[in-house]
Amino acid sequence: MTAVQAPGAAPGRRAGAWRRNLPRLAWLLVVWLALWGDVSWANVLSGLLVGAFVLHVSPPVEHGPFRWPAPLPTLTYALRFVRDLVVATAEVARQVLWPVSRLRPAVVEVPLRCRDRALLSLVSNSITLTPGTLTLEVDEAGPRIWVHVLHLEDRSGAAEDVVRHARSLEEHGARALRIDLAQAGGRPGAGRAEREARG
Amino acid sequence: MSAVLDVLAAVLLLSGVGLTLLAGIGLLRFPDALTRMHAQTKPAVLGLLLVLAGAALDTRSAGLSATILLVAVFQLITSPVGAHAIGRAAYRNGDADLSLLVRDDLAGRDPADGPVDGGRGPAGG
Repeated sequence: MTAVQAPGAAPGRRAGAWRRNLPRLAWLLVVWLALWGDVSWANVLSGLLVGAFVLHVSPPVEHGPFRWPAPLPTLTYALRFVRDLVVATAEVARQVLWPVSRLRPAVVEVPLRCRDRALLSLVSNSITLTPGTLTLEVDEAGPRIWVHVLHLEDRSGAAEDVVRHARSLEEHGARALRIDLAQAGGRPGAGRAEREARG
Repeated sequence: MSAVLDVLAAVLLLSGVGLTLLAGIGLLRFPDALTRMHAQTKPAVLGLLLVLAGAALDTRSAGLSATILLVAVFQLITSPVGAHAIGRAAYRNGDADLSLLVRDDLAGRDPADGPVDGGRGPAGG
């Protein structure tokens, strides 16, 4: 939050809130239209009304200004995710149908670099749907997560591979969400201290 | 053309149903709550995605496809969150068989310390 607005400048703040909420309103409208499966004036108008109401009653958004994701990294992330999901399914299928050996489940701690809530959500959700791993605990302040591994191979470096996979997902996701990992802690407004200060 | 689409839709529907069945068998065969969550997420999600793709190809309606796409997106968002919540609760309440774990980096954390994220729940995306 660069303090451009003077405290008490209510009109300016309201304009800022509008700018932030406009993409969210557009997104809610898209969801509304998709739910009806039809684009008509009645649907657009009711969607705008419902969307404005939802934004009005929902708690203030805590993860900074809305930003469009970067197109190319988002596309490659999506493709990588689909490939991972297919591989993950095949692996679980193999374990279900032909259990080769006793499962060796494990819980592995993965230190991450970015506290941004959107990125943390993206990474933890992706990890659950990619091969062999499932997000079990999240420590936002760390930031770190603990993942449950379905089958940790009995060799040295197996846990490190799990960590490397999660961190490479984080890097890829950061590129898609335009977050600079070098500034550990994420984009402004995402820090825990600042959220608590704002109450 | 329409016949090709019909066959493709049938193939997608059947493979999706097969994966969902597989997820169900996994739930029965895996040893504890945490390992079962693996079966409940990956094959179940991909199975539903395939069924949805099959349904979209079968109906060939733009409006319905938009709704189907919405279902897919929300499944991708909510399924891992649900698995996370169940896995976390199972671990903390001792409903998971921790003796199966060959390594446990969470061991030694006192559950009385409370949630590691300060109790604010899963981060909103």
